[in-house]
Amino acid sequence: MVVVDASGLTKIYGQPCGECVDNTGPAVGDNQCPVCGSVVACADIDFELYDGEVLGIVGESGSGKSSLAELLALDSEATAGTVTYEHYDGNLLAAGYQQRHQLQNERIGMVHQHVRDGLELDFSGGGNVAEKLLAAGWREYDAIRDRVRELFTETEVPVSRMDDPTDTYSGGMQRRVQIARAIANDPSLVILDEPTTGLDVSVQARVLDMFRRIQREQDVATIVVSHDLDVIRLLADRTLVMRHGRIIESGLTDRIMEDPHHEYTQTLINSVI
Amino acid sequence: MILELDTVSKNFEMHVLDGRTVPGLSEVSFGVAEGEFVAIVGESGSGKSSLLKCINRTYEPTGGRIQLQTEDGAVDLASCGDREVLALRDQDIGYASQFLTEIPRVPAVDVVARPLWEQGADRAEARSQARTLLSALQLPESLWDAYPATFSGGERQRINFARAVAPQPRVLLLDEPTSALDPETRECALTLLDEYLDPATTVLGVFHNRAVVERVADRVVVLDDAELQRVVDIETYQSENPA
Amino acid sequence: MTDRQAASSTPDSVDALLDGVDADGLAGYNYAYLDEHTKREVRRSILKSIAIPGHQVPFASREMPLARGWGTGGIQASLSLLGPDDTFKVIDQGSDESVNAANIRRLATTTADVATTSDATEASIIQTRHRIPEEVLSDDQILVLQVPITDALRRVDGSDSANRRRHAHKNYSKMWVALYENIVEYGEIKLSARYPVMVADRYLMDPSPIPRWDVPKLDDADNLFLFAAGREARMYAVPPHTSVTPLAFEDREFQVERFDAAACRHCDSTDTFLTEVETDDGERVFACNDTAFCEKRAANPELAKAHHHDDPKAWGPPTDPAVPYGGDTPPSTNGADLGGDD
Repeated sequence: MVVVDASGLTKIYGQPCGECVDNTGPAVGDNQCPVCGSVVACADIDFELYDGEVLGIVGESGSGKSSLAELLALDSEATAGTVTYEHYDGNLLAAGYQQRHQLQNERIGMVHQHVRDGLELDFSGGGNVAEKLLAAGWREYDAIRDRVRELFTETEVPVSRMDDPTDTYSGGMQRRVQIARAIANDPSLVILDEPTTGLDVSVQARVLDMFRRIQREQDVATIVVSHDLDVIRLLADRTLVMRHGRIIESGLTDRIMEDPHHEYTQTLINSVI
Repeated sequence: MILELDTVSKNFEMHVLDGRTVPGLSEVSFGVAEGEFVAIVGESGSGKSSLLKCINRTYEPTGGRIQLQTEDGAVDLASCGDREVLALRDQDIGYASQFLTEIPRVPAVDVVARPLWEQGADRAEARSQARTLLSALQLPESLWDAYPATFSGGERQRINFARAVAPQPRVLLLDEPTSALDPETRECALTLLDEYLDPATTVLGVFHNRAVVERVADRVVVLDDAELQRVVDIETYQSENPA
Repeated sequence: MTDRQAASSTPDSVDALLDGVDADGLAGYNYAYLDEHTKREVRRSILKSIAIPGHQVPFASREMPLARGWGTGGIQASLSLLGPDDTFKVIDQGSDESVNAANIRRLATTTADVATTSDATEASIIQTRHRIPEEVLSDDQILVLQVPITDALRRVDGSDSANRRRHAHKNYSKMWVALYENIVEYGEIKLSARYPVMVADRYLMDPSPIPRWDVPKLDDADNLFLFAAGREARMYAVPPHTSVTPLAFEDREFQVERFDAAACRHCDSTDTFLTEVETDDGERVFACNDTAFCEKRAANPELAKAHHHDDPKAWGPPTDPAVPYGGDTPPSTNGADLGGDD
């Protein structure tokens, strides 16, 4: 069953002149429109995401992958395109402020690349997770505490640290609290934006393995955005390769890794140290 | 025929070589009956691994068809959609590459248990089954809860083997699964195939070792320079190539 | 003696009051200090506040003859409402006698020539800092509260524009998290003053630094409450019979102060909000915070808080925490039997 169906997704920064999309992209080798100077972060993005599936989006800087993640998480406004989402009637991108917040609280979880976008560092770790529950209408304190403990245990964050301010947590723990927040209300879609970037190597594997386990157990549709091929290989069933704001190749993750077709994809795969 | 290959070709367009095309497989055709054990042999670079990868759809064939008979009818693995392939890899097709690619900091027992979890088994039960397999492969118990990153080639290969075998797929694809094992442990692995797998399991295995081929195979597919040279039953193969 | 003072002692209109004032060299003098344009602007803001209970309405706060932070908002509201027929009471932390209350009262009598009183049941307009009087107010009374910080969300985010967005979309989850963190730290909700409330189930409101004791008085009251802040240039209102609910969890309820069953040293009341005082000998004693009501109780210990009403409703639980409080209770003094007579 299709969870997300995206068509023609486009995000342009600046005042588009109408020729921006045609004058940018991998063929041209640039994101910036030579006519009006607008930056085409991503354009003409089409894909489908099914129930329980993990879709990887890989690309280097300027590929547009993070802009795409922000659009799907409803954190920014699209310039064009439609997204059909199983829990929303009509174009998801046209949802109003109130509906966006409701969807973000209850249906769509996002793990941000930068911790300050995803967590309130003054609140305790438990408070950050509790916020999601409170926003969804939970009003029993003890029940909230129990659920927070449960989520901390699932994401392998020490329950003993639950009441400490989030800014005293290590980077790995902060990332895991974000994951706990993202899954708190049993969403149907989770978006991970660079889930291991900035984490110590020894922690990266644990975070990924933990997320993989949760994803399989709860069968939640996931979009993983990363420049790190190992992260994609580990988590994603299918992968989109992006360059200069467009999808240049898509397919099964192992197929992309071992039998890359597009010239850029071949370069990318061959570049892994 | 559970599996039918019809003029399967795979060419690689190497952009780094200015777009030169390198042939991996050239119009390979043969069939496999359910329950058969087919060995794939040939020189290095003859296309053996490519053949398995095409069946698993790790490579996208450039031409031809690969018909797989499933409960819901025939599927052409060469051209069906990605999602269908993912669904088939759950139950119908299992694949083990030559080398273990593991996730860091996951204990050996969990590496083997994972495919069972993903099929829906209870975690404790899956781990228990994993231990049975590792024990049958004579992997020392002290290693079961350790991380495979520092294990020897033979130890890693046994974990890889156990992982491929554990979920009991209908069609099992093995790429040099015992190349790093000494004769004794190799025998354990091959015995495991006999004892653990359902008799109806179809196996396609790439082997370098003649003795192994003669030990396990019902038929032999011989590849040479990306082309299918011939397909013979095991007795013919043995008589053609006396020890 | 001026002509004005020689004239009738109770003018029946503003014009009559100003009549003949020119002669005193007071040409262009504004009744109640503020010019009519300002009063009109303030009154419009008041009406708008009443129309949208709990919503903060900006108003053009004028320069006043006292510094910001000393009740300039409350004064502007009071002066815009006062007329010659009104009776004005001013209290500060429950007392009519504080310097600040006295000064504000004098400003009103000097510029508006209104009658003043310390009796809460006699006043038509009561201006107060940080307390609601003990006696139940009626539907022809207005309580003007002085407010330092107008936004309850200021506790969780200093950004005013972000908070306004939250109010617009009824997005109060950050306040709930603040309550959660409070319980995590103290085991119960330990907020004392400025306890966040939901007004008409729509807006989160800061009831000004009144004690928790006074918060239940806002709910379904007969009188109008006006909240005004001169420095922040905003006001808001709770109209009569509006629901005002303090934020709390289902299993961590809102509680008021209880004073360990103490009694007022002066009038012996055990159902009023008490202030703890340390005497010169180091003894700790309690006294009613509402001094005017304390005097009445000293004269008549049986006096009900709603003695001037038909409705026997009385705010505030007994000071003994062992006695459960579920809303309005009849008055009690000195451990007298709590019979249900309402």
